Amino acid sequence: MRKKITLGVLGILMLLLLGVQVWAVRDFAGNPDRAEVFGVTAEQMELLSGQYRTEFSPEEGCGAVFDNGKPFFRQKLAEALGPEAAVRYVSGNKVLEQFPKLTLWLWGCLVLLAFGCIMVYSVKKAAVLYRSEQGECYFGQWVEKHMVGLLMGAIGWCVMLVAGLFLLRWLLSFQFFLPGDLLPPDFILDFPFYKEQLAALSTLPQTAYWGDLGSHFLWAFLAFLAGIPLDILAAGVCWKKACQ
Amino acid sequence: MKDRKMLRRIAGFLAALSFCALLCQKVDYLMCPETAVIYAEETALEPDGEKYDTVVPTACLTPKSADEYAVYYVQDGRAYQATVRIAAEKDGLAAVSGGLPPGIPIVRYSTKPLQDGMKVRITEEITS
Amino acid sequence: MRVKKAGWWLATISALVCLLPFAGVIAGSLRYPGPLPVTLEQYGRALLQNMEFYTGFWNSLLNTALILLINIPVSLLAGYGFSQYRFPGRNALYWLYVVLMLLPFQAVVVPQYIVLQKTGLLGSRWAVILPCAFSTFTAFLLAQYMKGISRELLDAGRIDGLGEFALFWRLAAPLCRPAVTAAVVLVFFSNWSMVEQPVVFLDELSQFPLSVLLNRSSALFEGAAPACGILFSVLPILLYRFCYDDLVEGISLGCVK
Repeated sequence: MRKKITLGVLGILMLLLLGVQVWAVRDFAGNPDRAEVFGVTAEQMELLSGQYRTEFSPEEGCGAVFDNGKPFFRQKLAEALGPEAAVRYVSGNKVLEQFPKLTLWLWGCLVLLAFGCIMVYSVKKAAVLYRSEQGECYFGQWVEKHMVGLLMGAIGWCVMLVAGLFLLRWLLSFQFFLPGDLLPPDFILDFPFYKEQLAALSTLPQTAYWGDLGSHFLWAFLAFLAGIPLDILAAGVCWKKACQ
Repeated sequence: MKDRKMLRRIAGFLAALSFCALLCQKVDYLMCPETAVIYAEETALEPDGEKYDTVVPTACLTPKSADEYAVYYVQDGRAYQATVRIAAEKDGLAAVSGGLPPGIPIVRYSTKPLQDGMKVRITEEITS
Repeated sequence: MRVKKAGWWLATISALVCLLPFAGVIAGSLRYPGPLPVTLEQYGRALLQNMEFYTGFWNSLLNTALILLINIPVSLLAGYGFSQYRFPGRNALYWLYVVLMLLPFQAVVVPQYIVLQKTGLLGSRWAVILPCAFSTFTAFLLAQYMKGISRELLDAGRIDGLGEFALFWRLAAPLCRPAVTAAVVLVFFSNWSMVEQPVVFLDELSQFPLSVLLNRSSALFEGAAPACGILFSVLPILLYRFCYDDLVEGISLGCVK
């Protein structure tokens, strides 16, 4: 009973953390992705407004150029603005969306592991049952005696196998996105690079949008991090069940 | 008992490696920059002017030294750097000569700074 | 006592010398050009950024698993036939097995290549699997082991009404567990690290096992080749620990008369 309550609590916690991530995405969805430009003139922004939707604040000398959804927005804008412009590209929505996506992907891997563990456990259980009754009847007679149970087990096995194959296909086709300038050039776990990039982004003046993104990002990131030990715990529970 | 423990360790190792393989596929996709390519043309820079074998937008060229420029081209899913010289230039187009294979896609935009031999994904082919 | 101690020292020093290359690879896998003298960056690159490592690893695993699946049942049957039956040409066939066992791969590579080319298997995975799957060494090892099975046991089974295949399946095969384990381990080790057959019979880089990729194309691994090598060695080490007792029993009872 205690085990079931613990598993229930674990499941609820995991759902809660996913809920926090989804909330962060939905709450921020009203802010379209943009490039924040600093130290620009009204004439420069006027030139850009032909291709993009722009906002300009003459008093602060900064503006925003909104992502038009076409490919290579950053690169084309950088070419149009020139190398002297101070620009902070913020794909806030796209980055925030990755957290619940990654959580769901990890859960997909967990479900696949659970299928494998259940399949192994059911075969082990059947083998133990056969060994215990081996002295009383031959294999054919044993099968006849437990026909219904074996058939149900076989059907369950086939369903899990097919579902597992579809799940694996989904896991393989799933792709994540991160803006290229946030990714290290060589090694994905290049933590000094990430620190440098975040520091570089933070040196530019703070805007309401950047602050808003920061708080939503923090919520989503912490919820994702807190979910990882729970996922590992769930994987351990499945593994222990298969090893019984 | 010891046998069962070792068998679990073997199964655990294979399961962990399978998970890492899945993760690696995603990381490989993430780290692979997306590129927009343009095909070098055999054209003249001016009407009724001299025809050049390889004409590319000047925006594709990066200065390397006094009169040499670097340009990236894509072959077999990888980006390679070629060193070229500008023979003539007009209106944002440059006729180049050097180590550039003919008819090869040239990188116009890339989501990450490129390195020689880097794996890339072509997501856009610019026709003009 | 002194001789015993000297023997112990000799064995220990020899063991350490044999471990030196492996220790060198481990040391190499903990280094990467950068500020830190010791770093796990190579393992991070091998596990997270190198699809070639996984392609090679799964190729190695698939090839070895298929070879084992074909080799062990066929060798069990062949060993049982050699040990229990007297048939015309048995001795000649047995000695042919011994000769084939002694022939190195380099001596048979050309005829094998021609046969594979004529059968259209060259360039496919089966060009590597099929020649290795029908290995005479395993049949020889199992035949030697099965010679030790008591004839009275099999006669008792015959009296009880068991057919010939049932005698093999229900009596002889279960008794051969140590020898089968030894055969599995030896076949696994020899095919896990095979290099010559894939190099000669395969063309595509995507079909090569990891042993070949680490050997020929270590540049593919972007400086993480030592870490890939260590990860490649984990499975054989675990398997060795798993099968150690059966391996020793199987080899000693199969080879010592």
